[in-house]
Amino acid sequence: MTYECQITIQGNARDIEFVAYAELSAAAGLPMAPGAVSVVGATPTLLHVAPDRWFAPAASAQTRADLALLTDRGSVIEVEGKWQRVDLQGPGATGVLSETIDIVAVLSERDCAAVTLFDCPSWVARVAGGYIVWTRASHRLHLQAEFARLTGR
Amino acid sequence: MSARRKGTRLSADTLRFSFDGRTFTAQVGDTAASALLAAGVKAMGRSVKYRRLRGVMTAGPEEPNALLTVGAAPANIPNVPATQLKLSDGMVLQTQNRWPSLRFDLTALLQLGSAYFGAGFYYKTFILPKWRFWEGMIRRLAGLGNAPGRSDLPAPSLEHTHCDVLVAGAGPAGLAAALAAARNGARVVLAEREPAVGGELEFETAKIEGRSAGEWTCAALGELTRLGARVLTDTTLVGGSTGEMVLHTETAGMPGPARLIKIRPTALVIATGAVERMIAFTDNDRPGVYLLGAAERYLARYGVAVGQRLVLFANHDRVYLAAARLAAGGMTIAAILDTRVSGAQSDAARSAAAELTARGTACLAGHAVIAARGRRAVSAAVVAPVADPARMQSLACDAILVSGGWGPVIHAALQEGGTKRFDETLSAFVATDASDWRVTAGSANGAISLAAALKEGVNAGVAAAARAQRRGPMAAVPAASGDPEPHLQAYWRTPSDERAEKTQFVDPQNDVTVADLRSTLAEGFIDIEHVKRYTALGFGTDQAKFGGQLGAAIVAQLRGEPVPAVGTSRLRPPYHPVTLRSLAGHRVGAHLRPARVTPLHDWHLAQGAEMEAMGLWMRPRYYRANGSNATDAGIIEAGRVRTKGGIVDGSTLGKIEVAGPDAAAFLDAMYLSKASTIKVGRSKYMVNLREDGMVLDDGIVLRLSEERFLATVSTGHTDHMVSHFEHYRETEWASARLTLTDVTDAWAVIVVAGPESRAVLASLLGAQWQESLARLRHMDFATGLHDGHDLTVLRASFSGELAFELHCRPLIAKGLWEALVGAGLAPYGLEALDILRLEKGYLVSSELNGQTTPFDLGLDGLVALGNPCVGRDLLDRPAFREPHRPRLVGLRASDGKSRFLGGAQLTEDAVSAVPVGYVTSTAYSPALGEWIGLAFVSRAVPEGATLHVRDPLRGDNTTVKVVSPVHYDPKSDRMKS
Repeated sequence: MTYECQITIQGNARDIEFVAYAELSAAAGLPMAPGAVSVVGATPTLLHVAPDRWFAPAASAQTRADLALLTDRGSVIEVEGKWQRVDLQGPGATGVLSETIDIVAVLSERDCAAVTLFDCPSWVARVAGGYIVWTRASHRLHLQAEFARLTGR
Repeated sequence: MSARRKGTRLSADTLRFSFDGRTFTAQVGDTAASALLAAGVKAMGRSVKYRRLRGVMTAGPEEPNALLTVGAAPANIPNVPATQLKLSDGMVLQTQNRWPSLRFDLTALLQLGSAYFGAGFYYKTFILPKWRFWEGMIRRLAGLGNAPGRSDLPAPSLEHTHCDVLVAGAGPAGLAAALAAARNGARVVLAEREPAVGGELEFETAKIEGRSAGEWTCAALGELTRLGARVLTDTTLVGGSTGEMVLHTETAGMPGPARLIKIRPTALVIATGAVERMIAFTDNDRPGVYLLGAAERYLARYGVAVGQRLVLFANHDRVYLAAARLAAGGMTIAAILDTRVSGAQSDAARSAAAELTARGTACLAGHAVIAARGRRAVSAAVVAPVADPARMQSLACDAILVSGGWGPVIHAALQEGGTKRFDETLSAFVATDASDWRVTAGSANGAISLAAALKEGVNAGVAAAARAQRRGPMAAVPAASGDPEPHLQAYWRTPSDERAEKTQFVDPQNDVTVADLRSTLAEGFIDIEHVKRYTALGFGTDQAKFGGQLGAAIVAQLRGEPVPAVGTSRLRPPYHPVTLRSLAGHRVGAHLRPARVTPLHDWHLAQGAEMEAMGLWMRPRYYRANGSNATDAGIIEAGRVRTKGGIVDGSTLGKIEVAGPDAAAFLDAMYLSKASTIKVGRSKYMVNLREDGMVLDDGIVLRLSEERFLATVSTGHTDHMVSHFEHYRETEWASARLTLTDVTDAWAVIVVAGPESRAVLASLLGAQWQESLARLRHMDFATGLHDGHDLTVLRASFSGELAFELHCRPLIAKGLWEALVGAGLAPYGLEALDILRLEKGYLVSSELNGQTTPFDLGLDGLVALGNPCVGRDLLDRPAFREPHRPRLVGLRASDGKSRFLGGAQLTEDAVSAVPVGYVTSTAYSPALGEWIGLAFVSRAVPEGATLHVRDPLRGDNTTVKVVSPVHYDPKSDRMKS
C-alpha cells in the first residue's frame, strides 16, 4: 500500500539543543508545556521535545541570543549535523507515520514528541499539511528507505 | 452452459481456475470450496497421517481438511483453506498430501499400517533398528503441504491506530453493539473476518424491527457509516493483550496483500460468534460429511447444494428449521436424526418437523448416525436408535449434515487473561470475568437466540462507550424473531466398539480419533494439555476450533468425569494462521534492521569498501582494491599505516557531551580516574566500571572548557553508556547542575595515523592551524573552524603511530576525507584497525567482555589512584585478587610462523583437559611478520612460559609463548614523536 505524501529531505542545519538543569519560569521564553512548539510564521523555532530538553532547529541569531541568557540554568549544545530533517506533506502523511506508530494518538495533546519511527530515534512535530521529522543522521538512509517504500518512490 | 447460481456473495460474472490440472468455471465471489462443490468435486485432499480421502466439512476458518496449495513452486502458497480462498481468474490450485495424484495416491497404502501410527507412535514404534533409520522417510511423508522456496507475496502494510470501542465480529450482536456505541458518540471500529457483515443473519429466516434480516443489516451498516464508524471486513482479531489488539486483514482469504492493524481501543466488545460442533461417529471424515451450518452457508452465499439427498444428524431444535431451509433450496431431506428421545421441543421446530414429515422426511427422535458409508464419498448413513444401536438400518444419501451444538469463540477473552465456565444449557464453555474494558456478547457469550444476542450486543455497546466516557440515552433493543432456542442436549459421539473408534475422528486435520484419546488416557496422559500434545489434538491450522471442545468432552466421557473437570487446552494467538510474511511486515532484507551509516558511507561504497555490520553500524572492513579478502587487504592497509600513513572513518565512536557546573564531579564518579584533573585542552584515557567492579567500557574524555566535557565511548556501547550515565543523573545526581547529550551523530571522526599524518594535516588545514598542530602533545586537542564549521583536532592514537582524530561537522567530513586521500593517505578498514590496535595491546570488546576486572587488564595503576567512583568499593572483594584470576597477556607462536585464532583454549601441555586461559584476539602482524595475539591466562602463568593452543574445531593447534601484550613499539616512541 502506498500513500500520497510528498517527502522532502532537508539539508544541513545549525541546530541547537538546550538542556535545563535548573527550574525555568515561563519568563524564559521557552515553550513550557510538554510537547509545546514555538513558531515564527509556520516555522517551528523551539520544540519542547523531552523533559528539560528543547530543540531549536536551524537556530536563528535571536534564538541563540535568547538561549545564551539561560546558560546559568542549563546548557546550550551545538548539534549541527546530528539530526536529519524530513518534511512530510500531503493527505497520506498521517498514514505513512501510522505504519510505525499511532501518530494521531501521540500528538493528540501535544504538537511535538520524541518517538521511534521505524526503529529510528526521532522527533516529530505536526505542521500545517503534515509533519516534520528529525531523525538521528546516522539513521537517515533507513528512514528514507521506509518513506520511499510507503510513498512508492 | 449451466445456469448461474444465485447467492449473497456471487456475481453473475465468471472466471476460470485449475484444480489438480483440470480447468473449472466459477463465478466471481466463489470460494474454491463453493466452486468445487458446485462442480460436483467432493474430494479436496488427503489426511496428514493415514492419507484418507477428505473433502470440505465447513464453510469457515475452522476447516480441517480442504487445504490447498495456490500457485506453483517455488512461489507456492501451501495450506490455504478452500473455504476462505476467494477465486481469481487463472488461479492454479493443487491438493496436498498425495502422490502421485489425489485419486491414485500410493501413500494411501499407509492406511494398511495404521496400527503403527497411533498417538505418540514415534515413542513406541519405528525404534528398530533405530529411529534415525526411519526418521528421514517419515519426515518426508509428514507435514501439510510443501514449504515455498520464495515468497512473491506483496509486502503487507501495518497500521497503528486507536479508537474508543473495538467490536470484534459483525453478526447480530456485534452490529447491535457497534450501533449502540456509535449512537452514544463513541469512535467505533467494527472488524468482521468474513467478506460481509451479518453472520448468521445471512441465512437465518429472521425479522428485526419488522424488517428482514438482510434489510436490517444494510440499514445498520449505512447508519454506522454515517456515524463515522470504521467497518473492516476480511479482518480478524488474531490476538492481543490488554490495551492493544492485533487485527489481520487478508484479501481473498489467502495470504497477502495483507494488513496488520495494531489498535488500542479503550473498550473491547467480543462478538465473535460460535463455531458449530461435529459429532464423532465411524468414518465421519468421509467426503460428503459436513457441518449443518456449512451447508446452509453454501446454499445462501453461493447457491450451492452440498448434496441432493441429505441425512441430518443433530441434538437440538434448530436442525428442523435448517432442514426446512435446505428443502426450500431444492434438496431432499431423507431423514433427520435427533439424538433427543423427545425430539423437537419448540413450537417452531415441531411445526417444521411436521411439514418435513408430510413431505416424506423421516424425523427419527432418539436416533444417531452410527457410521458413514461410501468409499470415495458418502453413499449412505447407517443409523440406529441411541438406546438400541444394534437395530441398524442404512439410509441412502450423498451428504450427512452434522450439528452437535456450538462452541462460543472465546479465544480473545481467554488470551486477554479471562477465564471460562461451562454453560450446561449449551454444553459449551463461555468466557467469564468481564473486565472493565472487555465484554463478550451474543453467541460468543452463549446467547444463541437472536433476541438474546441483540440485547447483549446493545448492552455491551453502551457499556463500552461509557468506558470511553461516551454516554448517551439507554439504547433500545430491537425487537426480533429468528430461530428458536436450541434446547440442546449434549451428545458428543456415537458409542461403538474399540475397533470402530479407530475411525471416529475428533480432529480430522491431525487424524486424531476416539481410539487415540482412549489409548492416550490409558498411557497415563490424563491432563487435557498432555492429551493435546500426545495426540496433536488441536495442533492444526484450525487451532482446535473444529475438534478442541469435542475432544475435551470425549476425554471427559472416557474418564467418567464432567466436562468442566477436564476443561480445554489453553488458547493462544493467533486466532487464525497468519503468515510469517505478515508478521515480519516490512522487516525483511534491507529493512530488517535500522542500519546506521556514517557521513562517509556513500564514499566507502563508491570506493569498493567491503562493508560489515558492527552492531547497527555499517563500517568498511577493508577496501577491495587492496585484496580479495579481509586478511590480505588488512595486512596491506595496516602495513601502509606504519610506513606512510592512512585514514579510517571513526565516526561511529560514541560521544556524550557532559556540561554544567557539576559535570567534572559527575565524571569523577563515573570513571576509575578523575576527570576533574584534566586541564582544558587536554584529554585522558579513562575506564568505567560496573557497579560490581567489572570493567564496563573505556574511552577518552576531552575537557572542552571548565564546565564542558566530551566523553567518547566504544562504538558498540554508546547506547548502554548513555543509559548508564542517565541512570545516575536521574538518581544519585538528580539535583546536580549538569546535562548529558548524545552527540555521536553531530561529529564525524576521521583518524589520521602514520608517520606522515602531521605533515599532511598541516598542509591541508591551512595557516590558522599550523601553530596548534605544532604544539599538540599526545592527548592534547585544539578547536577551531574549517570551511566555516567546527573542527576539533585531538592528538591521540589507537594504532601506536603518530595520529590525530579530526572531529568535524558531518557537512565537511567528505571534503576533508577526500582532501586527505588526495594528499596520499589511503583509507583503511576495520581489519587493519584491529591489526594495528592488537600490535599495541589496546583493548576492544574481545577483552572488555564484562567478565574482566581492571586488575585482569593490567589497570592496577588506575585503581591505585583511589578515586571513589561507581564500582570502586567492590574492587576490594577478595575474589578479585585470587591467584587463578586471569590477566591480559600477549602471545607469539613459538615457531615464529604458525597461526592461532581467537577463542582457542590454552593449556600447559598437549594432553591436559584443564585450560589455563583462552585467546581473545589474533592477527597476522605485517610489522612483525608473524601471528600475534592477546589472551587471558591465569596469573600463575609467568611471562615467557610456553602454552599449548587447543583449537579442536578449527585445527590450528600450536604452541605459543607468553609475552607482553604490547607487541609493537613498547615505549610508544612512534606514537609520541
